[in-house]
This record gives sequence, structure tokens and C-alpha cells, in this order.
Amino acid sequence: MKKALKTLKTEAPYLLFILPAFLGYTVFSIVPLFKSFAYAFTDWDGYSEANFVGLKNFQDLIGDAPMMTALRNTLLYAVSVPVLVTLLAIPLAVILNGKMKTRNLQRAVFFFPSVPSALILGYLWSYMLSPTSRGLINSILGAFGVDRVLWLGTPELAMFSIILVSVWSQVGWHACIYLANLQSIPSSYIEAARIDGANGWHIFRHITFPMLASSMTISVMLLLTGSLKVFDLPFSLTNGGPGYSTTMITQIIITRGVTEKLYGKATAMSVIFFAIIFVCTLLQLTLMKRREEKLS
Amino acid sequence: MKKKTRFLALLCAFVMAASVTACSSGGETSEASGAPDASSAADDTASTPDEGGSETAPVSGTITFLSWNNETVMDPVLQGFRDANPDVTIDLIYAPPIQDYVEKFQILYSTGEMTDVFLTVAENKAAVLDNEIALDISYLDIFDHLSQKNIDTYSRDGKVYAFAPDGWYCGVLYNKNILADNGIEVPTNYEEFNQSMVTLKENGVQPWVFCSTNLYDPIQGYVATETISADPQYDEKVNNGELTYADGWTKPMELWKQNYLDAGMINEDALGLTGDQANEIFAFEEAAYMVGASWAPAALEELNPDLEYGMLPWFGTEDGTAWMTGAAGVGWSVNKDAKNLDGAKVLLEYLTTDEALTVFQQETSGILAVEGIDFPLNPVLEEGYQYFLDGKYYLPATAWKYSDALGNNMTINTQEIVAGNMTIEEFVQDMDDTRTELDAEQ
Repeated sequence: MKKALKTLKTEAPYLLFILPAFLGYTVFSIVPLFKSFAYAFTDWDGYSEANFVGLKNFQDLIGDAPMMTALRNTLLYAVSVPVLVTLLAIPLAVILNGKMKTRNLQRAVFFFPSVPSALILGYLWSYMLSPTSRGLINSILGAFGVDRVLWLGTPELAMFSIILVSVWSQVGWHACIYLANLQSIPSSYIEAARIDGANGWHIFRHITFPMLASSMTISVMLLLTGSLKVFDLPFSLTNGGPGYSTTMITQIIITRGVTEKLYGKATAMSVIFFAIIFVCTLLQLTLMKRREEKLS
Repeated sequence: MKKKTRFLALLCAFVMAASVTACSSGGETSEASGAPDASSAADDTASTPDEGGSETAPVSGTITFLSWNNETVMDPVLQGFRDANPDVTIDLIYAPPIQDYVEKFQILYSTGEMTDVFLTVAENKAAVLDNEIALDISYLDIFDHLSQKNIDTYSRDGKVYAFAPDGWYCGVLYNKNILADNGIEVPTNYEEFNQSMVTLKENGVQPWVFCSTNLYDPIQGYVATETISADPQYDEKVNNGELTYADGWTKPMELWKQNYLDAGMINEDALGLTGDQANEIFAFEEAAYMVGASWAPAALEELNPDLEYGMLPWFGTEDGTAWMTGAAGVGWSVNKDAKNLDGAKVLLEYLTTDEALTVFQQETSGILAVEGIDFPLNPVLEEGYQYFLDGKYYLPATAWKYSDALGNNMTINTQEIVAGNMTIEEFVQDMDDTRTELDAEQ
């Protein structure tokens, strides 16, 4: 008891420092989270009294075709974006880590797309991908005699376009994460490998790549959670269309809740979505941490 | 994996997932939060003294006002009221239209903090009327001079719950030069209009420009000319279950398919266009027709001040039948349980004066629906103004019981039809299914 009191006395100043953040997070995130669990079992419409309806909202989700389409779209996006960004960011980081005169400029250029908000990027890209004569991409294609492409007008291409813009905007930022990690790799490892006759590929395969494991865990986790929760870019670029072809789960939750006033159903979706994100993030962290331990 | 690492991973995953679910949580239930009880509120109103008789007495205290017009617009409008009532403070709470406003309204009501004066709009009208949030303001003299359509929009059982001073209308904007260059007279009926589209297409001119979110505008026009023109009570009958959407929307959908889809006036190009991009195409004279509402001229004339264009109504199949789409504007309502009820009522009365309405029109460039107040009207809009005065304008969303859900479905499902993923029969069926489903949820 005495020991516990002594520890508390020692830790008290530190605990006081985190108290405001702890209170803020509890009041604005944890309490609403548990409340939304409760609303998932009611028929609350935002105005009138909430009545308990059991599992009805969860059962209704199974027959909700737009919801299933949105789930499919979200999973496609959440797999594609992290894979593509990681595949491009690591080589880019290696290049930016080279000894070029313009490397600082190049780093700034690649980092810049991650600065504007996704809403602004969506608006800009909707002009670049426009099917009209003012659409930049189609104008360039036209100069080479290629027929114009309906980037946002066909369901498959619309999803491809969103993934393309998302990857473009995030590669530079994630390359910076890897770059920071690359700069912490002791040069003696690489010099020793060179003396032993290793070429560039061997150095990357056996030294650089394994040593990027910890930053890869963080980068992929950020990409995965960000992609599962994506809302702003598809909303600004296609508004979820054509039809439901680029509608994500977050947009459907907002539509069912705020637009249609079906808060019970919307929160039931949120609960399911919470479980999906929880499981995905946990799996990803577990697997990648295991990989880190194996490589270290 | 070490225990500590596993715990950290679990915690991290929980935190990441929590941020999504927490964001979707709504406010309090009315029971838990002490939101006003509808029945007791109704009793309170019945005993409200001096209804409509306090317009001359200066008031005091703070009047809270939830508006989707910001301070730049509202401050000049309210200045006269402030001058006449120096002891009053108006606490203007701004929430931008539409989603943010409706959300704010909902939160304030659910938490029992509803403002004294607020806006009733298409998206919260059902909630305002069903939950008896607004005071009956039928006693105001302004209703003797206001367009009947504006009164009806916010009325129930003969009582008026919001004062909407203006409105808007929307029709077909046409480029005068393109029509003249192709030897086309300005169409005056259904046949001439359809023929003009065909002629333009045959001449290699782009007849129409639509964007992804206004593909349904011609359908709304056909519903007005084919269904509402014949039965003005149609939506009411659908809302109470006497008729279905299949009864009134099948023919308009068939006409839309025949005249726009099958004729190639709407195609997948529109699915990739935003409203701004469509405006540019019309303003730079690359298309002959565009859907345009009463606020369109400002944007078009900024893009091309030399644009020569006009406005047509939506023509019906029956000769002489033509309607605009459009609706009454948003209405000012007084909270029945307002903390400063006297102040709110006097403020509303001030908002009905010529002085306030003139300033409001100057600030918003709206189309006033009040007799006897002159205001500048863009010459292009004059062509549709008579339809507005005659009440020959219609917008399904203002008459629908579930305007948000049906409106959202209409935008998405017209895109699905253009993309070839849905038929017009499925479109109409979906409208009826959505209504039935939402009825069951009530």
C-alpha cells in the first residue's frame, strides 16, 4: 500500500499532464462510442424517443444492397491503396535518399501532394479527369490520337481514378516515413556489405528492406485505417457515383443517419464497421510485428 | 509476440477503430435529454397570451436565431430591428446549408436548446411539423400578400408554421445564338422543343449539357406537366397511401427515357461532370440547352458577360401545358417553447416588413413572393417569372414525406440508369419500396 502511494506520488505530475487529453478523448470519443453501441439497438430518428428494437437494425443490414456495395468498394480501396502506396513509396524513398544535387527539391515536390486537403485535391482532379475538351488528361491523350476516356463516367474507371488520385497524394508522404528510417541505417552495414561483394539489389534485399520493417508497420497501419475510413476524396471527386460504384461505408453511414434519419441503422453499421476496422488493424499489427521480430 | 507488444497492438487497433464509430454517434434521445414534450408544448401554446399583438411594444433580452444565412447577409436585415429595440441582443447562430444546418437543428432540438427563431426548410419540415416545434403564425398580416404556394408549403391543417418570403424556379436555359445559327425558332411547345434537340444533334451541335447531379431535372418537369398538372393533390395521396409513385412517375420516366436517353441527349459524359463544369460548357457556347435555376445567371454571366440566352419552361405533352420546377424558399419559424417568445414574435413581425424584406432581397438576390415590393430581376429570369407568380412551379422534394431519402435515391438511381445498371421500372419500384420501408420504420 505504501509502495503504491509512493508510486502514485511520483507519477502524479505526469498523470496531471495527460489528464486534459484523457478527459477530452473520453468525453468526445469513448463516451459517444459506447452510446452509439446503445443506439444500434434502437429505432431513434434523431428527434423522437428511442425504442429498443433488438437486433432488427443488424438484420436489416444484410438486405441493404447499397451497404453491401459500399462495403465491397471500401475493402477494394483499402487493399489497393496500401499495397500500391507501399510498392511505390519504398523505391521512391531509396531514390530520394541518394546523393543527387536536387534531392531536397525532389523531396519537396513529392511531398507536396499530401499537403492540400483531400477535398481540394478531389475538386482539382475532377477538372483534370473531365471528359470535356478542358480535361487535362483527355487533352494530353487526344494529342497522341487516343480517344477520350470517361475517367469518372464509368463505374470501373471511376473507382480506378479515385485509387489513382489517392495513391498519387499519399506516396510522397509515406516515402518520407521510409526516408527517415533509411537515414537511420548505419552506413557501416552497407560499406561492409560492399566489401563482401554485395551489389545494389543485394544491399536492398538483405539490409535496407529488412531494416524498414518498423516503418512499414506504421506506414501500412496508417494507410489501412485511413483507407477503411476514407470519405472526403471519393465524396469530392465522384460523390459516390456513378450510382453507388464509388460509395464508401462512411458515406452510407452518413446517408442512412443524417439524410434518412435512420440513426439506429446507421449506428448498427458503425458498430459492424468498428469491428471490421478493429479486426483488420489488429491482424495487420500482429502480423507485421511478428515479421519485425523475425527480421530483427 | 510479447504480452506488452500484443496489448499495445490491441489498444492501437481499438483506438483507430473507435474514432470511426464514435463519429457516427448522434445526440441524446428526447427523453434522456429533456427535449420539449410535444403534447405539453401544445398546451403551452394554446395559452400563449397576446398572440400577434405585441408588434409595437419594444422587447428586451436575448433572442437566439438559428440561420443558414451568415452574419454578412443577416446583419443588414436585422439592423432595423436592433435600432428599434436597443435592449435586445440577437444571438445569430450560423450553420451552412443544408446538411450542417439540419444536423445543428437536430442537435439543438434533441438537447432541449432549440433557438427562439429558426429556419424551416424542406429537409427539416417534417420534423418541425410532426414534433410541433414551431408556433402557429397564421395571425401575421403578411399572409394576405404572400404567394399561396409559399403559404401552403409550410402549412398543416390550415395553420401556418413558417414565413418564407421568397422562392426560386428552374427551367431550361437556351443559347439564342446557337438556336438561330441552326435555323431554330425558340420552341413554344413539346413538339417544337423535342424537334429542336433532334435538329441540333443532326447538325453536329451538342444539344444539352447535364452534370452528374441534375440528370433527373427533366423527369421533375414531366412529373409537373403530366401528373401534378392533372392532379395537384397527387403527392398528398401518395403520402397517405392512396396512390403510388408508379401511378404518377411511370409516364414521366418513359418520356425522359424516350426524349433524353434513347435520343442520346443524356449519356455517360454527364456522369463525369460537375455543376461548375456544366456551367462552363454552356457559358462558352458549347451546348444549346442547360438546366438553370434563378441563381444560374450570376455564375454564367461572370464566365461570359456576352452570353445571349433565355429561359424556357418544361413543356408537357398536352398543348399549352408548361411548368417550371422550383419551390418556396426557406421559412422563418418561431420556436413554440422559445425562451424569449415575445422577442421572437416581434422579430418575426419585423422580418415581414417591407424594410426588412427589401434588404433581405438585396442581400440574397432571391425572388420575392410578396406582392407590392419591387425588386430587380435579371431579364433572363423574366421569361419564367409569370409561371412563378401563377404558382406553376413544382419540386417533388418539397411535397415528399421522405424528401431526403427519395432525393438521394433519385440522384443515384438516375446515374445507375445512365450507366445501364437500372431500368426505369426498377427506378419507380425503388421509390415505392423506399417509401414503404420508411413508413414501416416510423
